[in-house]
Amino acid sequence: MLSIHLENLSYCYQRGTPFEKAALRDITLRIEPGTFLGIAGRSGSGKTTLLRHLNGLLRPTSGRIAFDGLPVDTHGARALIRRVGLVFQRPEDQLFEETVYKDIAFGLSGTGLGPEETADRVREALNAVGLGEEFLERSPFGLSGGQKRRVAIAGVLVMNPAVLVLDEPAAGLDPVGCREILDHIGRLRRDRGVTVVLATHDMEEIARYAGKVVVLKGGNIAVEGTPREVFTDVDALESAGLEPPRITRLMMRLKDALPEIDDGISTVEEAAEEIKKVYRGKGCGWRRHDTRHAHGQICSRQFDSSPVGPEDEDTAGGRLYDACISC
Amino acid sequence: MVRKVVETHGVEFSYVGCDGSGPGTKALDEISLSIEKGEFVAVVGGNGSGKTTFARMVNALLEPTAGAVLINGIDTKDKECLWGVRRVAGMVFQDPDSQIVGTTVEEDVAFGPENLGLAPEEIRRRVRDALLSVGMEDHGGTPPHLLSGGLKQRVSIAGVLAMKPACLILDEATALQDPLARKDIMDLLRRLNREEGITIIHITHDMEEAALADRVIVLDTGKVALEGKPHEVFSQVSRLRESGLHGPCVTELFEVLRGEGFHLPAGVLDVNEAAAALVRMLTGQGHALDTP
Repeated sequence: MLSIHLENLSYCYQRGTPFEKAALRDITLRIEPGTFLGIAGRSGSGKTTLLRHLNGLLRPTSGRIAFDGLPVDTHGARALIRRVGLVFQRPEDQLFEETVYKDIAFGLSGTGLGPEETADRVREALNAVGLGEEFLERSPFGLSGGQKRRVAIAGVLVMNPAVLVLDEPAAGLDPVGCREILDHIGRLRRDRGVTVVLATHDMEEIARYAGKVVVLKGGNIAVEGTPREVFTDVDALESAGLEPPRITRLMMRLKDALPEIDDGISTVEEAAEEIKKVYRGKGCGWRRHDTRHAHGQICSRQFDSSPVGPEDEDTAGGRLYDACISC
Repeated sequence: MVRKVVETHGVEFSYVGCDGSGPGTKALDEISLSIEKGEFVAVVGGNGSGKTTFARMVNALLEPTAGAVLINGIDTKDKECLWGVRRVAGMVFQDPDSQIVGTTVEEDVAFGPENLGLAPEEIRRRVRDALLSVGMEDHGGTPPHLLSGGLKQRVSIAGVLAMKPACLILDEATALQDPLARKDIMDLLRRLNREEGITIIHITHDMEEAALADRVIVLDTGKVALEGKPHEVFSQVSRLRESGLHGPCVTELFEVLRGEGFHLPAGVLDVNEAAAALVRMLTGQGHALDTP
């Protein structure tokens, strides 16, 4: 397990030139083993720059980054950095081998693994990204964009990283494929304790997977916390150029009319449960309706959608025709 | 006047592979459809469903192995008319870096019109108009490589607009953009569509974006799996899943609730519409079916 601590880290591109640009300012962040950290922010907010520090590609202009307490420049840290797997943006651009198998296995060459173990690891990685074994002997260049992306991610997964850092892995993947890959990465975290750092614009992805979120704005941390804390801080999010996930926005709208609604919810499943709970709480329950067909309409509805409690039966009675199991 | 900008008749395409996989795998299989002038069409589909191949057909970057593609009535197989076809249909790619060539933004946008052999004043006018259209008028002298991804994508759209195409094909042009840039690009596309009558073919994985189109075409393994207005297409949840897609999340939520017997309208796409329907249901003000 590997912890990464950033302390007052700043980074400046093209320092000393007219194009000098501060990309990160005074970032303090602790990435503990086994967390799923989402890093959100607009383009240019510093996400990629931050990620590149996590495997030592960039060294801070000021401040420090330490791996298990070892500063990045020490000999000990260099060995640890190898256990950080970074999936670049558009990783498909770095495919180069003749076959998918060779490409995925490339990182394992020189690690002393035998051919059988290599083959097992390659299959496992391929499986993890949802591709079948029929792809192994194909050329990576004959694949579609999304398939290439998956092969490239497999090439990092095959190294069994302790910290997996992904820079917008889902951009350009189809929704189901993206969910497949992220679900698998979520499982890696659960089952093997792999730390995951995911940079994304997609609040839905963060809602679904991350335990903690850091929102960057202009190289600073604008807000951080659990997804629930961050998503309900609409002002901070909006000032960072982001929006809460659509489901959270929906729940916020509902809360305006129904104060009992929990607006910290951000996934479809939770929202469905919450709506059912509120619906039941309204006293309408799943009850049968067998009287009063006020409109004489055809009853095909299973449930009464009017919230009618025992005490307001009379006033709301006119609406009871709404549902009907029996007819 | 030709009403149909794009017409395909039984189009098939197989990549003849460097990897021995083709021919045989058909990237497009019997695609017959047409896109009217002024339409805003979203093309969605899983990875490898043929979306990009389709886009390349429309721009005559690829020729069908069977069937025909007509652009403004011109067959893309007609080599004489190749440049005519490409002036009708301008393509914007996913990664702006793959189509930016100039050393400054202005120069890049001018590249197309220069190659049309236009007069310098006309080129300048077009560059200015195109940059205004995409809101980049203040960045004319900036080297594109110093711009963020979203701004670069606006430059590449400006570069295509400067060619005055009748039709823009965007091949996942928003995929690498952040939410505000996406919104920006979508607003820009809708404006170009409404105000300038430019036909838009928007290929995307973002169902919320697709929901803004007039028509959605779902491709699956090279075939048209579904086609129709957004609310018609997105209410078919199981069919979409088979194609590697899911609807916008409010549509999904409504389908989950409908599946459990709640009477809510199908094909709701938008947060406001969804909130209104749910509030009606939960407060009992009228019943849920009153939603249009």
